[in-house]
Amino acid sequence: MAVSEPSFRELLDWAEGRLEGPRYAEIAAWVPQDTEAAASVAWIRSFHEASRLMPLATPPEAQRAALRRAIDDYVRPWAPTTYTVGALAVATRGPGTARGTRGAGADAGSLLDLVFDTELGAIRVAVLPGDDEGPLVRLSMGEEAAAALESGTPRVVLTAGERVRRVARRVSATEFEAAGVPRDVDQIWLDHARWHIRLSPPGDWRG
Amino acid sequence: MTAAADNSAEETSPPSNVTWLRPRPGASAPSDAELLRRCRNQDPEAWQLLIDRYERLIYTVALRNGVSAEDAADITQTSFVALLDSLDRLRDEERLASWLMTVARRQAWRLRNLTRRDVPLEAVAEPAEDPSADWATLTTLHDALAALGGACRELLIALYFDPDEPSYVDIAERFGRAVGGIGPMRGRCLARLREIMAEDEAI
Repeated sequence: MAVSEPSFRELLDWAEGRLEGPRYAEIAAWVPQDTEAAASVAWIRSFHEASRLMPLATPPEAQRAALRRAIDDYVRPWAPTTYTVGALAVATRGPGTARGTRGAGADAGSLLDLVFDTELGAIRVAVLPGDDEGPLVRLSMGEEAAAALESGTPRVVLTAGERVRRVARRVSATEFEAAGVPRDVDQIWLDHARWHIRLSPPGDWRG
Repeated sequence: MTAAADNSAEETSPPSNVTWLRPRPGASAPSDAELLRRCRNQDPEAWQLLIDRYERLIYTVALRNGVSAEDAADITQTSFVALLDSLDRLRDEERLASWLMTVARRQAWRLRNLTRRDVPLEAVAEPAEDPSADWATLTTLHDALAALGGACRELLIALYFDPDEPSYVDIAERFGRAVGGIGPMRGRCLARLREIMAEDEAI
């Protein structure tokens, strides 16, 4: 009896070792002698190789949920209804420390340093060189303030009107950073279950 | 042949001893272009669907570019934020997968160089390519999978990209299909993927 030309699915089954018996042998004999079949098998094998280059990992469930909440914040209007306002105490442009008010740890490379007086003490906002998307903005607070925020999950949110533009990443107990801050950001918020503090940079703060 | 048409072949009803309890994943999944259109209209559900579709890919790219799991999770978020910022500027919606992969890799480079604050990102040299990852192959492949879309994309991801290597039984349960239907569907989907990749090479 004549051997029937294998279908793509049969070639796939054969290449993946899912065929047994006489049909396996028939296809094994067919492939080397049929250009199209050989090309199909070669493609299947290259697909297998490519898929094995990078199996897809799955983030932990907590991080998956956090991602969805975060993007939802970005998409839906966001604005606290009750908050206190930090008072801008110092604004210094260019590298170096803000005169008379800053302690250790100032960024020598900062483009702008702002210090706000808030109910949690002094909060510093440094604007640092970033990339073509925008500068890096770092918010720093004292250890007492950080300790006061430990009871919840504090966030630093940068907004343009009611639109969330960046949610800063917490890099230490006392520091948050947001990269690529867009030009239209006009408010910085410290968002916590117990405290909502608004920091209003000067109008030209991004430079 | 579209992904939707794939769903209609052979599997129009289950065997008598199988009951489909839930809608089959990806059976009517919108295309990337459709989701992006909805995202431009600030549709939260569209964003969640995009996250479902690309979260693992972005996370994995970040991990493969030398950051921790926690940082990879951050990069996943910042990559979607970058998409949100770029919605009105995206030039090729058919290549959203490779766009997101490129953004994730860029974010990983930036994160690793955050301590080098005096160096603009443009001046940061790209790290040596991961010798085990052919990036051109991967981006082409994932763009083709995106073009394939729907249940086919999800099935091939489950069969060939899941490090846990789920069995046909596991996949059939996840997809609400008969076990016997997975093999034929896999064949159809791979054949269509091959066509898409051949069309792309011809362009």
